[in-house]
Order: sequence, then C-alpha cells, then structure tokens
Amino acid sequence: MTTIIGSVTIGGLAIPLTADVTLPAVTPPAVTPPPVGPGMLIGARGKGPSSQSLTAAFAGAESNLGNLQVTRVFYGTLPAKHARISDPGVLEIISYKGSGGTANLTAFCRSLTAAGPAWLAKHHEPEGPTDYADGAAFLADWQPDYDVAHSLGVTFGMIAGGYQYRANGGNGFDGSYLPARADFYSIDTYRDGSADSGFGAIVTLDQVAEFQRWYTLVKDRGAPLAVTEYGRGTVGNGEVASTPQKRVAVLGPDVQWLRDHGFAVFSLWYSNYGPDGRAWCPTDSAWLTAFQALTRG
Amino acid sequence: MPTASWTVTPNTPNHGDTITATYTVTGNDGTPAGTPNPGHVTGTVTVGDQVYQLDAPLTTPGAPATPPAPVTYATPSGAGLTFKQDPANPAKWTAIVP
Repeated sequence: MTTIIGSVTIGGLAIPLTADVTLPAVTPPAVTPPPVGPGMLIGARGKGPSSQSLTAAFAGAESNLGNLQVTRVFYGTLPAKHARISDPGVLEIISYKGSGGTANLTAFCRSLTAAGPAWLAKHHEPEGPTDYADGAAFLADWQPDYDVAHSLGVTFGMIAGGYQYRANGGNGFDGSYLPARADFYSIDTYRDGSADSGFGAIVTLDQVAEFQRWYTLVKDRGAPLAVTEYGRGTVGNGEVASTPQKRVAVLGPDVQWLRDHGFAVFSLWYSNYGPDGRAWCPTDSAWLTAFQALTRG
Repeated sequence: MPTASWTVTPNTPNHGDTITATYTVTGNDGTPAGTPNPGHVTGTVTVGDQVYQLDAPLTTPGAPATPPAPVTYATPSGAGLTFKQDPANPAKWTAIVP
C-alpha cells in the first residue's frame, strides 16, 4: 500500500489529503529471447489501409501467410502502455522514435511484462540523411534508452537500414551507427526488382552487397541477429518482368542462409500501403505457397 | 466553511496506467452583497423666518459581496510518482505508473 499525499489551500488555510493506492509489483518483463538457427522465428508485418486496425492487418497477413511467430509494431512517441496487435506468444519487435522521457519509457517497458514477448528498438533505420547528423549523434540518443530498457530486462536492439550499407556513400557503411553492445542487431533489407542488375536487382542474400556489409559488421558482436523487414519486388509497380520469378526463387535460399548463419528472426514486410506508396505484398500463388512452406516449418 | 476532498483513481493500477488525482472544493462561495438599506436624507431651507423641512428617500447599498477565497492545489506526491497538472483543470493531476 502506498499513500499519495496532497493538499488544498483555501484562502490561506491548508487542508491536507491522503489516498492509499496499491502499486503493481516491479517484475522483469517476460521477454524470452527466441531460439536461433533451425528454430528461427518466421513472421511478417501486415498493413492495410489506414482504416484497418493493426490487429486486423496482422490477422489478414496470417490468413495469407500461415501462422506467424513474429511481427513489427511502430510508435512515434511511446505510449505509457503497450497494446499488442498479434496473437499471444508472437514476438512483437517494436520500433519507436521518442521515448516520452525516462519515466514513460520505464512505464512502457514494465507494461511489457503482462503483454507478452517483445523486443524494443529506438529509431529503426537511423542512417537516413534526415534522421541524425551522424552515427555519434544517433548513438548518443540511443544509448540512454538502451540503458533504461536493458536494466529493466527488456531486449533492446538496433535496426539498421540496409540500403545505407552500400559502398557508394551509404551512411552506415563505416559501421558508425552500430552500438558496440546491443541485445540484438537487425536489418531491414529491400530490393525493389526494378532492374536485372545493380541495387534494383533481386538476388540471393549472399549476393546482396549492402546486407553482407552489415552482416560483416555485426556478426561477431555476440548478440542475436534478425531481419526485421524483408521486401523483394514492388509487385507490378516498376518491376522488371523477371522479378516475380526471382522473388520466389530467392525466398527459400535466403531463409536458409539466415538459418545457417544463426539468425533469430526473419520478418517479411507484407504491406499494400507502404510509406513510399508502393506495394510490397506478393499475391501470386507460387510465392504464397513458398512462404507458407516456411511458416509450416 | 469551505471543505476539500479528492479522488485518486485507480487504486490498484498496473504499469503504464495513469493515476488521476482530482481535488474538489465545496462551500467556497464567498458571501453575497448585503441587503440595501432604505433611508432618508433630510434638510431645511429657511425663507425669511419660515423654515421648511425637506425629506428625500435614499437607499444605500448593503455590505459588499465577498468573492470566493483563492484556492491552490498542491502537487500530489508519493511512491516515486510524478504528477502533472492538467492545463485545462488545475484541480486535476495525473501520473503514469512507472
């Protein structure tokens, strides 16, 4: 029992008041690191029109793709309490931009206790030219939140923007945005299928130069690795003719490569309504069959 | 005599919940203006050796009204909670349960 103390002063006369409340116990969040290797979690972020709830979007993705074990959640500024969008037991990897302050971040982290498995990351894909001045600025923003969340038992990591790890001027190429220590390292990797060669081409992950550059930077840091957004081809919007076939052809090998290299998570970006206005949501039966084979494990 | 009370809810919050403390003051109404006082003003005028008594009715105001006493609300405190005042309602304070 905790006593809250207050008072009202009326014309110079102070009237003290008290109230008793029972605050919740402070317990570590129930965040369980997922298995790695053969047990890699497979999932997706579903997103429909703005009128559709995130819960409905997740359910819709699951009906097309099979049982999902992981999904993505995004916040601008963290609320004080997390509201899950997926099934019980699904790992929700949560991104946010602002913590709302240490007290709010603390409340949010503790709210995960009852909510279910979750990972947390501040400002995914921070390497964009309009996000931070440089890697040092990002890490100065990221580190305090890591310290708070990690101390509360929350798995707190860094999600890189894959396109920024290209050799020709990507802000992330030198590794300056990667913290020396994190609870997981993840990457969002896209190839839009707009060309048969170069950065628009769909090739297997072992040939995706920017992905491999990031992997080289993080693979020996002793933390779980993840792919939090995977998109291949923009589904009839600027794709070259070979893209649908290539998209199917690389899916299985890419997931296998990740398993072979000990990755913990593979999460598809499965959205018809991306912020860039393009769909990353294959609907052809060959691709759906290939993905469902993964979720059946 | 004014009195004060408050409500603090919920009393069994969870992490991330918002505790709301709302003060209530009753009886702080001040006093209304007093009843007007009817009266007269009298005077005399003397013309030659003739004295004239004059009278005029006059109602003076009653005692002035007293406004409600100023009220201030202290910041609630306890258990590491940080309360913030509602900008639209100074009697209302909220804190997030960390």
